[in-house]
Amino acid sequence: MPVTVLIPSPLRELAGRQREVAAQGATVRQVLADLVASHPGLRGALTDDRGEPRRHLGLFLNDLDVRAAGGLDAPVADGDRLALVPALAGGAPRLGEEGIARWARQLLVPGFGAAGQERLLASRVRVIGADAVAGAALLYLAQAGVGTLWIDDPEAAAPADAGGWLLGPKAVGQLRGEAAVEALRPFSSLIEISPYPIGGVPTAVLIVATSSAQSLATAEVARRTGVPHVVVEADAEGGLVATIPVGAPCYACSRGAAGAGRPPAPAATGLAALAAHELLMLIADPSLQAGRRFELIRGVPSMRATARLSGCACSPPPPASDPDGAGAGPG
Amino acid sequence: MTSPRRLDLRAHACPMTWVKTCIALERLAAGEELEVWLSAGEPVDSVPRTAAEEGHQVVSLSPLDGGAPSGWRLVLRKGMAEARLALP
Repeated sequence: MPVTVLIPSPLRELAGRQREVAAQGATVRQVLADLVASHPGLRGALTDDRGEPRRHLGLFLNDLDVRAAGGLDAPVADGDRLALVPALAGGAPRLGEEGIARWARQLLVPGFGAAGQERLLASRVRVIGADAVAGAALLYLAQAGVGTLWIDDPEAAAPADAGGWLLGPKAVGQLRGEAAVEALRPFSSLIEISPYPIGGVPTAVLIVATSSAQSLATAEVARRTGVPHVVVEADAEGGLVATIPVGAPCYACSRGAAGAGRPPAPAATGLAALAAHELLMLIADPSLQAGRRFELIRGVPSMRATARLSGCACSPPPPASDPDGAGAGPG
Repeated sequence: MTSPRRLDLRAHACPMTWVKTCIALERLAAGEELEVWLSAGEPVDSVPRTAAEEGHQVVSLSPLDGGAPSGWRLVLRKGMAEARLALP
């Protein structure tokens, strides 16, 4: 089936300077194989020694992350558009001396390293919420070196918001998102911090919503657009943090029966900081695929892997070679 | 970007000595060697020890010959395993 492959500018020299290339195949894997066969110069940039797509090559089928569409065996149809996004090619920020000095400690975290820090610098993170709970996460993300931090909260700051880690009494009455940007200005010498621009496409999302309904709705949007996300819900007694890599069981699968309503208790801000850490690790290592859920119930913490609910819309489609879905597992 | 095979860290103090060593090792393939010049005292005590703890091989540690400032030449061979934080 003819598919249009969109070639990013760093790779166009290897594809005859073409922006788009037609390729054939019934699955994403077959389309990539046909692309490499017709343009051998792309082989090294797209595949590793075993012929598998490189770990940091992003693939988007009709704007949906292929990992959320069923992986390399996802079926393609006539007229589909497959975009190649090399995560670190073409001007991704490198760690300079200032960056190494600034983030020296976390560079030593196992599994993070210079490559993880460079992915952080190249990332665009949208944080939904800037209240007293979200403030802890915003501080964490800004200091960790997320390259672009978009803060999305159009509500006015209440006196309770001034009791958190980020906003002071002067913020009361201002829009929380704008007040948070101002409060984070001391950390913005190496990164960009701004209110969320309408239409901005993030690489990851942190959801610290004001209600369960808002959490579910925004998490579903993130899932549908193939963006990894972390959700925090907290209440006076505890709460939960759900980590949802692309293709993992969705937030509706993972949340269970946790409550809503959130006075900014110390436990809640702690959960928000934990959520920020989870998001950082998702960005630093894109190969992470399993979701997990932390709970804090009456002071007792726990963690478990998430499982997909039977029949949930987040289930990946069956592979093309198995049209009846007989081999599809629960995820 | 090619990885540096030799680092002169004699002007640096801990923990930056290990941070820069760690970044240089990360950009090498397993089995490749890295030469690091360190000043006496804490750097030459801690960098080889930490490297060994992280799974790299200390090939040699010897005084630098002549020149100023003086120091130590540490040769490391990158280990096979890279530690990572895994989700359950």
